[in-house]
Amino acid sequence: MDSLGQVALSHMQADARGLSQGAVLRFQREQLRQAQYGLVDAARSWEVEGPGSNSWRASFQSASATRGDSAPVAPLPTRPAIFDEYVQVEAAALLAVLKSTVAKAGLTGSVALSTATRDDGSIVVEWIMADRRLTFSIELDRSESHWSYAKRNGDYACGELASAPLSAVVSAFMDRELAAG
Amino acid sequence: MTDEYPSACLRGLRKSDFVTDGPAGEKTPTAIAFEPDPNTTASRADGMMETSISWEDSDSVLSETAKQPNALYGVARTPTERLRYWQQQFKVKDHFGFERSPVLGNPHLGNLLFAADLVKLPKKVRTMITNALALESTIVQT
Repeated sequence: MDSLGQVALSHMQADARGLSQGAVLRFQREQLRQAQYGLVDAARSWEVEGPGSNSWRASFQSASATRGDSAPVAPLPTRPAIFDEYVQVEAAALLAVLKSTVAKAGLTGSVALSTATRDDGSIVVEWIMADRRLTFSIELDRSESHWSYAKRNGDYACGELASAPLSAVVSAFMDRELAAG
Repeated sequence: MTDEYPSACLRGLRKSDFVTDGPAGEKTPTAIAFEPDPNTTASRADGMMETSISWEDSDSVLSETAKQPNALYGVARTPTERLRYWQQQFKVKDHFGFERSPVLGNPHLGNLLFAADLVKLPKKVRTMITNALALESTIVQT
């Protein structure tokens, strides 16, 4: 019950930059709608037109090609805002959980938490310490969200966000047992 | 041109998101500062993506790099020895590397290289590499 995704969802109503759990539900509906039109991988396959550009184009296979009919379907000209909203909600919720974890572990003075946004709209949350870093990547396609850490002593690990127990990830990162949840 | 590498490479930090505050209040690069540009693979035959760097062949390279528009938020220095260390540690020598890529007038240019193929180098592993690069880097010019 304490996978990152579940923990994040449970915290979404708290802060999340003023966004609500309804944003997640709208995101899921949007994914479902696109899946029905053969665009299920749309978020994954969107690509940026150029460095630093905020304009987007759809590179996915068109719905008509997927269905085998000849009627052209116009590609989505822009990434729906709900994707950005969803990623922001997830990242803010994760950040809230990490802040709480850091405080509970008494690590506040030695830890820096930061967020950065990629050109594709995905968000990276970093837990920075002098000799190690833990990174969470919140992707537009939830199944691609992941975590990873590297330590100066050569230790490293990575995994999918949805299947990783938060307490286990943080414990491994910190080399110490932390209370679950 | 030489095939040998100096003790460090420099990465211009062109976006505010490429820099953050470290635990001691110092400026430090973020992992995304080292992520490759996916558009660069189209001009290569080896299926790699590039993160542009400058090899610190002499003292003047730092000041030259700092003057570039893509160093608006500073310059990060990464020890070459640590690049090699993580390349071996991650066991991804064929999918993560570095090179010289000199151009006329600038013999110091180079690239960090990441396999574009997500089967060879899954996104989570790529992030882990950029995470390690950020960990090993210090901001030397702001």
